[in-house]
Amino acid sequence: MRRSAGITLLATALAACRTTVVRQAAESAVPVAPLFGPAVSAEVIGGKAEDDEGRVWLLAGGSAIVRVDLERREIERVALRVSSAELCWGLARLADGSLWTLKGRRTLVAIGEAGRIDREFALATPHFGLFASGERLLYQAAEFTPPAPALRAGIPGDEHPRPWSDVATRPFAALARASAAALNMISCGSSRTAERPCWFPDEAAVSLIQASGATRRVPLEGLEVIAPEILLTSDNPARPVRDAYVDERGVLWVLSSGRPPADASERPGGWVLARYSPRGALIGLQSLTEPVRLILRASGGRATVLTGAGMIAEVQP
Amino acid sequence: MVKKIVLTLVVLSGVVAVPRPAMAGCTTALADCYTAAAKVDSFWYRWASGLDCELDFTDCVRSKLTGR
Repeated sequence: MRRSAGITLLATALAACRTTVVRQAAESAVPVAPLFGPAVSAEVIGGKAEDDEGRVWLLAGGSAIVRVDLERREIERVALRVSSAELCWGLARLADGSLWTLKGRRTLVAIGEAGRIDREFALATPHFGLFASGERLLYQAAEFTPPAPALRAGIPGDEHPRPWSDVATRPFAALARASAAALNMISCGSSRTAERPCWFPDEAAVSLIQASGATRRVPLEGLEVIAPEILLTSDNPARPVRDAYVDERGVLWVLSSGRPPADASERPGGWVLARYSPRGALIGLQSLTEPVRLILRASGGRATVLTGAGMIAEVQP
Repeated sequence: MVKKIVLTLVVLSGVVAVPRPAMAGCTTALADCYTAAAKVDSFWYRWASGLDCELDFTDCVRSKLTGR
């Protein structure tokens, strides 16, 4: 018994050693200055969309849309008119201004005024995520046989969306099928250029993807990476990339989980903000005075963010 | 000896890498779901039940891995 316990201890220690700290020499902490809010509580944000006029839509708690007007400093929340049995995930705003989400795994819905469901399309297969590129929706189908295209693009109702970008799901030989599928769930951030950043939860890298699907992968120096097994079993997994935003100059802003201070509260969000040149060279990497959940806008050397406390705030690295 | 090696490999694979409650709950639910699916008589229904278990697991961990 004692021998087994010893082996377990040794093995756990060895597993912990697999945690790869690339480098995270954060400089002095940058203050996060509240502007207005709160916009959301600690509920999970399952999707984000924005327009060019400073308006951001968040899918909160799977059942509400929160619209934040950064210019007017206004917040509006509407409940989605869906049954409580089927929560929504993913949020996509097309060029025509229409807003879409996934209801459950198999239904694509258009969100109308006051949270009304305007249109519904049954999907042939289960889906994990939904994003947008111009006039097309980007679908992430539930894919259990990697490698396969991570995203497919098509207009609403298109039964045969086409592979979009070079990003493919990755095999994980040592992991169960369900775990590999979970690690292949992709996220995409916002961009003010022609390239949109997308990433996997375990990688310190983003793929910058053009509307045409042309893709370039940018490794991100300085972000902490942990082993996939640890990521899958953590309550609050330390993700190298929690959010990414490309500003109008092509500078990539990355929000990373980092390591919270010892006395930090349990609020959601990342503690590190990094910036990279359009080619991926590290410009700066700084810790934050409080956790940040999303980068809502970045311009002129400063970022407007959503904090762990739900406030809209500003950060100037 | 074999038992020790298997135990070590299981731990190294992260399956019991001291999960904290929420996502440990996802893993436990997956194991329970697989157990129930394995009891289904029909091969195809059993296969479909297993797939449902995996989809439920990914739903469970999605908010932690890709939620903001």
